[in-house]
Amino acid sequence: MNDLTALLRRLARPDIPFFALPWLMVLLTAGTIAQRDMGLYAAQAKFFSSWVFWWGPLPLPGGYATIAVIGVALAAKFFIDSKWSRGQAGIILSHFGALLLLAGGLMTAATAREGYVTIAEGAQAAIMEDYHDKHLTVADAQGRIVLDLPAARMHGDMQVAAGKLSFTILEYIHNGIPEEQTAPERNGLPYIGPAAQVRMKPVPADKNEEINHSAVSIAVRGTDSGDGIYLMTDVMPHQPEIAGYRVRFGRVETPLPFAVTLKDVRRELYPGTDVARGYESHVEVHDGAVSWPAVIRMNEPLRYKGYTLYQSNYIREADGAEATVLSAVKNSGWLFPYIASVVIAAGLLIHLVMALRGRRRGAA
Amino acid sequence: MMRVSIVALFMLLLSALPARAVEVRGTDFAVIPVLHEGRLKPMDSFARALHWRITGRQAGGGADPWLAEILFDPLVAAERPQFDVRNPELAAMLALPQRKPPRYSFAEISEGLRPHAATIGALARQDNLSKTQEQLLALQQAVIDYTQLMRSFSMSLPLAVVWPGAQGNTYLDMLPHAQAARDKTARLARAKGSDLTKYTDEERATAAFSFQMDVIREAADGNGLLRVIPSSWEPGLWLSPWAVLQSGQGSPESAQAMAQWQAMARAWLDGDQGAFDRAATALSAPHVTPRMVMERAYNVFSPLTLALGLYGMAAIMALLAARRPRWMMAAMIAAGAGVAVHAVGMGLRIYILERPPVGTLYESVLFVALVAVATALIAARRQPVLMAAAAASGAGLLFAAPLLIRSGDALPVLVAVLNTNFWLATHVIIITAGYAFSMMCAIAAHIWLGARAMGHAQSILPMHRLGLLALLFTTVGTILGGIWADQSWGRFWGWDPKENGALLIVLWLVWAMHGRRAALLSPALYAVTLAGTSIIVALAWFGVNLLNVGLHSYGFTSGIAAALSAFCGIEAMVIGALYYAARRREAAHEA
Repeated sequence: MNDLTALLRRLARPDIPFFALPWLMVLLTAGTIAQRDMGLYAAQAKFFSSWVFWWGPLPLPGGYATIAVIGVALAAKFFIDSKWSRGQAGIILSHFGALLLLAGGLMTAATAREGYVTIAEGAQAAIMEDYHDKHLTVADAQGRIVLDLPAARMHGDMQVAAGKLSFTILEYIHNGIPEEQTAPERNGLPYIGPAAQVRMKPVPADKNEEINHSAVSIAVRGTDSGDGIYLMTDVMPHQPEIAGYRVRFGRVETPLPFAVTLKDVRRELYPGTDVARGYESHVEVHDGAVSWPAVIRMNEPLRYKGYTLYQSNYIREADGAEATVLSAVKNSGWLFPYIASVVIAAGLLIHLVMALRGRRRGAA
Repeated sequence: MMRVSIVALFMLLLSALPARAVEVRGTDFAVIPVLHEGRLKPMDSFARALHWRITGRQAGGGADPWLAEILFDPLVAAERPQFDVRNPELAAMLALPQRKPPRYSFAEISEGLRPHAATIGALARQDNLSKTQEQLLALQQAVIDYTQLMRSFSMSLPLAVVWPGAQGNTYLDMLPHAQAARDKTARLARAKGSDLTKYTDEERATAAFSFQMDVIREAADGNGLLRVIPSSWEPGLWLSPWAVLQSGQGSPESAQAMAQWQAMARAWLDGDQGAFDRAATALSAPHVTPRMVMERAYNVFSPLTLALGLYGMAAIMALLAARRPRWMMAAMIAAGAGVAVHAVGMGLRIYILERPPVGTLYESVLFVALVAVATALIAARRQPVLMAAAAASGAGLLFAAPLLIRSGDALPVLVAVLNTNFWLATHVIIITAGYAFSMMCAIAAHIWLGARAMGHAQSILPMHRLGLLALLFTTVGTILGGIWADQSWGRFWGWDPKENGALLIVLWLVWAMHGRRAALLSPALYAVTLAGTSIIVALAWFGVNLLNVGLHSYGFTSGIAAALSAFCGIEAMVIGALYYAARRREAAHEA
């Protein structure tokens, strides 16, 4: 017990944040500058959302590890080593607010899900698609998922079973462009469907992760007569049915616990310009037998059942058809920053007032 | 198209009368409403913005006469040197003669650009342009804007070839005869071909008239810069004269407005001051609003320039007060007056734009200057050097701020995501005030180090308290920014460069405070850290915009990389030198 107390007291000493904070600043600066070449998503994954990252052959602590050290030191300071006096009230409150903020961040990192919902005017949607994660799914005739393979785990010649079928991942392409298929078959298996006409040529990934076009080339065996090679990309709505199994490759989809119908989407421009003054989606929310209207605007999201829908984009096709893109987020830690900001502000304000009062007393 | 414009202006408008001087300043011309950059504004603001955009120079006394000449006497305007080409490489590319100052007319620039049309078209689709290429594109855009202005009333100006029996000699006067002339010219072309020597004098006149009318009409396609005619069909929309004619959106009201503009053009060319004044009043009176009047006053009285002058005076007087304390009162009065005038200017901007005062990088600089000097009025009452530095910084910021104005428009509308008064009034104001307090804290730390270097003992309390104030505002501002992002984009924190920049300031100040509290930083190193806040703030405020990534794309700017690098480098050297001098003084003292 004494050892634990001693350890906590050691952790509560200010030299830990004093040396951890500069490292966090280095990470922050490096990760920010890296965004120019790597893009936000990759830089975030490498520098901020990581425990360790490699700088050449050297392993270095990532954002998670650094924030964890600071968080533990802060918690030890708060719970073990705080001097509970009026004079320290501002500092204690600020530390408590910072802990709340970190707790909210932890909860968000652990539980948050985000994606988007695209709805054409007059249409209804009840599924959100992930911005980044893609996967291959196989469903049997009853709709049961018999294979769910994340794209991040795919590699060449990977073999997986899906029901009675056998899948071999011939190639996973993170970003590719289509080109003409010239070969009729590969290793004795014919190209089937779009694969007979098109193949995907790998190109360097764009730093804007969302616009990378991924594809997977799969050899399917175990069918009675349809063994062959299939090509699926996340931009082609091609979901082949192979021997009674529905195969899909694309962004990870999450069903929403409610449905949304887009009645109207509006883009308001500043007069005489193409500069948008605002966007708004007039929707009908359906939950079971109950429906009600709602309006989602820039800076005015819709919150329901733990999900929040934000106005994200506006699409106008050449034929005049309009659609809205709503960001969808489920984040159980969303309230923490709101509370933390009030607590931190109060703490810093108290500390500042005490510092100023100290001057007056000193002057007196 | 460029060739057509030259022909239209140099051949067809030959009959323009030599202008007699009409005094434009002081007339209602300045408050004629014009829809520009998404906002209805007085002509005075439009003229200033276009003057800046086209010539690259601010029109301190207003640009109404400059604009009126372009609109009503394009022949003279085409020959008047307006365009500065200071880059010798660009001047050589355009085959411009060497001249001091290197200022050229529209006619000269147009001729120079003509052989490069294909190059310009290709450059417009490229990234990573050289400085000369950027300037070439900017010059091309300036010429396009100038051309649009010159053609704005080409339907109302006297023409060289007149149709016999027409009611007047302008395009509008002769428009009823245009179709007949076109038909007749077509018949002539079929019967006699295109060789004009086979035509009679009358037939040549008909062909010339038809050609003239077609050229003017075609040259006006897409002319939409000067939107001065209210649409009768779409509330809030204003159209250019040519747009009214060509889109068939005419109405009795627009016809009346067009007639007034024609009367004004004629009055300008005739030198008829009374008629000009009457037309200007008739065009402005039905639409002018109190906001437009206040905007004109903002332009004319230029409170920010006045504040700049007062801050400069305050800085000098505060410096004198360091030796002779009786100057301090004068310095405080000058700084106080500057803050009052500055605040009035910001108030006018709030009233004119109907939104909180900070929505662009330019406006953030204005606000930081105001908060910094206002803070000095309270915190530096007995510290002349701090007052001098704060006032000089305020003046410097106001002087440099116009470099951040885009398209010459100092009163811009905001993109959709920023168009929210609540968050502009909370997050943006608080974080920008945080920048100001950080700047003041850094200044106080410089002064502390300087005093130590000279052997004067100083308390760390002023810089420490300013540091606490900066920490309070930057922390709350950063968290509020996260909450705005949560409301707007669905995530509290996205590691976006602008967010990271704000967090960097917070972490820097937190680190400094903890270092001091744990006695891990000596007072001198603590001062160095707080002095370095200026570099951190500069990087967070301007530097992240240079990365051109992230969701805060509305704040992007270019061309400040060199200035920012120079500032950071010089600051680092100054802080290092001050620390070295302070340490040497301490060592000598201890010895």
